[in-house]
Amino acid sequence: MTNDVNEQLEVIPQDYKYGFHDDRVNSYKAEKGLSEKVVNVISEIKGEPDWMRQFRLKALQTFYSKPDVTWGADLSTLNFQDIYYYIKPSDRSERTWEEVPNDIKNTFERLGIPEAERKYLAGVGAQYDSEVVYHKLKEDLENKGVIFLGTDQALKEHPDLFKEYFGKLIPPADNKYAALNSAVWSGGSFIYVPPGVHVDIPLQAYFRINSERMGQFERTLIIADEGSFVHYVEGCTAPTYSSESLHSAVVEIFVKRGGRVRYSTIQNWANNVYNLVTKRALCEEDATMEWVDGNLGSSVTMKYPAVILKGRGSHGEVLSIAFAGKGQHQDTGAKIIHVAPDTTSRIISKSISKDGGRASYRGLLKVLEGAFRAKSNVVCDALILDDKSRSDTYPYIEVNEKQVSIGHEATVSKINDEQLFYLMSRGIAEGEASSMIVNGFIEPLVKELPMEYAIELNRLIQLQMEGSVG
Amino acid sequence: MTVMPSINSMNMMKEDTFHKFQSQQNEPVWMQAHRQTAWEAANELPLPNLKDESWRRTDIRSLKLEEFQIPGNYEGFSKLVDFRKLEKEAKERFELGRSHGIFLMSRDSLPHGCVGCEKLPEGVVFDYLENVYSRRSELLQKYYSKAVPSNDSKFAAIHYAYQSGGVVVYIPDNTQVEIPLNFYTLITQSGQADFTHVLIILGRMSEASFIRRTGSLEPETPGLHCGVVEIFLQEGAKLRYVDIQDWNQKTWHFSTQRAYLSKDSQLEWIAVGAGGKIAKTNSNTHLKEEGSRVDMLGLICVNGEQHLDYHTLQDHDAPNAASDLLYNCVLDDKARTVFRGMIRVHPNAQKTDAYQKNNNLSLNSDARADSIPGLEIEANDVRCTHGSTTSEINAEEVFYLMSRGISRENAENLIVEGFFETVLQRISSEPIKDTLRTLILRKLGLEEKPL
Repeated sequence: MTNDVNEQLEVIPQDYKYGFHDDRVNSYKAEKGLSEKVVNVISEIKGEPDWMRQFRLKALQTFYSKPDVTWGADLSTLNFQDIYYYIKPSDRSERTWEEVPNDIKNTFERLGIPEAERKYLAGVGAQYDSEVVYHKLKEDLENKGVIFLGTDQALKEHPDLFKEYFGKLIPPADNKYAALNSAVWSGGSFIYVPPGVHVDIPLQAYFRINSERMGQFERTLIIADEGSFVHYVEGCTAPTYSSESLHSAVVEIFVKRGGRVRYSTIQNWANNVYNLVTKRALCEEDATMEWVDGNLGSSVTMKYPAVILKGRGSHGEVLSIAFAGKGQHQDTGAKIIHVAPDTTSRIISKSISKDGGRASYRGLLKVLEGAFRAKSNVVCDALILDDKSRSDTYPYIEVNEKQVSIGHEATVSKINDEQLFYLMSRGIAEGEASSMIVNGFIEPLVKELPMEYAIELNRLIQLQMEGSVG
Repeated sequence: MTVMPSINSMNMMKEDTFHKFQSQQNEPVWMQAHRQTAWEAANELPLPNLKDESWRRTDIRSLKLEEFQIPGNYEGFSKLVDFRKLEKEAKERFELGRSHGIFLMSRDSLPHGCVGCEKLPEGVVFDYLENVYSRRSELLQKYYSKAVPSNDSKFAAIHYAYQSGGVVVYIPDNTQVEIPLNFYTLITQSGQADFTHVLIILGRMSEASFIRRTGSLEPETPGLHCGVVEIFLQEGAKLRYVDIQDWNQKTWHFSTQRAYLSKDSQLEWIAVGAGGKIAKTNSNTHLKEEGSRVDMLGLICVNGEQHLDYHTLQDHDAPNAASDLLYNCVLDDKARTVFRGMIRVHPNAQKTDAYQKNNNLSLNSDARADSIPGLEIEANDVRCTHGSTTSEINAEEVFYLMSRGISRENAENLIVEGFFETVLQRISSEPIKDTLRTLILRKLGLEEKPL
């Protein structure tokens, strides 16, 4: 099996080191395409309660009835019938690394998951195609009542807590892809942090698409109770196949009074994955939600992490970085809704487009009537590194209250000639100087990431920048 | 006295109405054909609705086109009105006596005819479109409907079908007209629809100022404006174009405005939005050749239940061109504004310098300002920046002024004035600056007075 992996590695493009796949025999693979039958089969295999099966079937109807998304990125080549909606790689989720099947273990070893766990992380989850194959939480956290499980497992072990929050923030009818996810969801993480508990080191999940024409539809639900804190980090990779895969996740986060959640994503799917994700957080009084969203991979990403500032004094923040290379369209951004008085928010978006890539910032900032003294600031900066690439900014600002302070700024430019000249006058080659400027450009975001992710992101940007001259 | 049942009482979307209107026009074959094409487009194109991305924020479901009267002969009408009184009112409203310039009232406004046209230099055209059909046939056929085609939208199509009473400005090469050209449109009757067309062509190295102003005779009579503005600047030409939309608050306003700029030409485009019930204005500048520059300035002041929707486009289709947009809106009561701006830079437009800024000052919690400043950039060696702010009157600024002995009310008024002043300061003509300042102050209910 390892030989196969090595062979596979030979042919993939050098700049995508996660492009390998392993040829394992899956324990179950649903038939290709979307149908009521497939939805029923998924629900049956998982042994779900009837309400969940009904929820799925209803969502499927919603999906069918919603028109195709016509704004944003071009999704015309996406064929819903040419995708596997459920592939089960292993019979159960393991709690010790040794129990994970060897081939899957190899994959994650290559991705550095157990190593990361040993060094930095409080808990790790790993999802391989449709199912979570490994989940581990440090004992002391478990004793404090922190729950960190695969979402399917949580449905079985904490049915009441699950039902109270599931689908409440992003109902299936929210948008076409949320409906699709609601119908065929599988895997994802479920986190509950009890009142006052601070999870000091990040919890991590790793998502991996291994099979060809695979659709991954994980569903993540995080509940941070009053005064608690948790940092959740997710990473995504997939092998490089000739045909497209689809990743369509739904992430719901509830931040109770005075709580704080930080959610960091380094999305590095192979560049033939459609990544269509709905992420939303609800903040109660004095709560804080922070999205750190890095998008480097995929062919098309449409993702606009949202924060609803429902409680007085709550704060929302989105730090977004997008890198659009050859053939990529990163249509990313943020959505903040100010509902309550004294709420504040900040959006910082940095994008880089290169080799014909297209980076679009699309954002909504909405202040409802009654959100007195709402304050928000949006800054979008874009770098275009060559004349084939494109950058767009589409910010929507809707203000229905007078006692507010709202600011938005965006700038699109190339690498500054003067900065380049300065660095080169100090004896630094042009390529390296450009790379340094780009690193400086994304610095405000990189420093928000946990160390190992920051290093990884810098390395990825370095790879993307190789051979480019501003 | 009875009013003859004229075509005015007929539904403008009916075939009969159009044909009767068409048969009353005395115009060349090409214009007849153009009307016919436009009429067909007007019937084929659907009315925009809330599902159209560019109409999502402007609800026109209550618009009943059939309630408005198309332009026609005013024989019946003329017997009813006191011309002299009307003339006096129109003169006062537009300060005809006070302002400096040459004046033309649109044909359906009263009084019509040109005041001061004899002062124009040789070769300059400033006249009704229909007056120059034969004299300037070649010019019209070259430019008319070339910036805004008749199938551009439902409203453009209706405009071209019933277009009448509009104006053409042509300044020959190397000619400078210093005295501003004023074109006024007044809606005088209840239910009157206005389809005035504005066509401006500036020859090489020529210069002119053009002020377009609209108004309603009565504050409470419903009206409809369905207009098109087309501007063509040839190499090195300079135009100052002022568009003052000051209808009453019962008037629907739909206007499609487009400017094409050639090499090294300059346009100073000032849009004032004071009137209207529901208004939708699309202002596009196409920088087609190197070295062209546009300044787009907006002064928008709304109250009551007004809803003004501005879509702007700075379209860079050539290298080394510059555009700079600043739209400031003040909102009171339950009024609503929508600003949706776009800077588009095509792949060939290297060295573009584009800027776009929209500021909204809200005086009331019931008011709503939407701001959607956009960028679409396909060239890399560019500098494109946009910004948007929305806020209330700054309490610290009020405090500062009050600490200097100024009452709260006056302090707030000064801050609102100052908010518009940042735009006014960018206008290069003092008389125009003064006119606009007076107009804005009147709209704000702040006649100029010592503090």
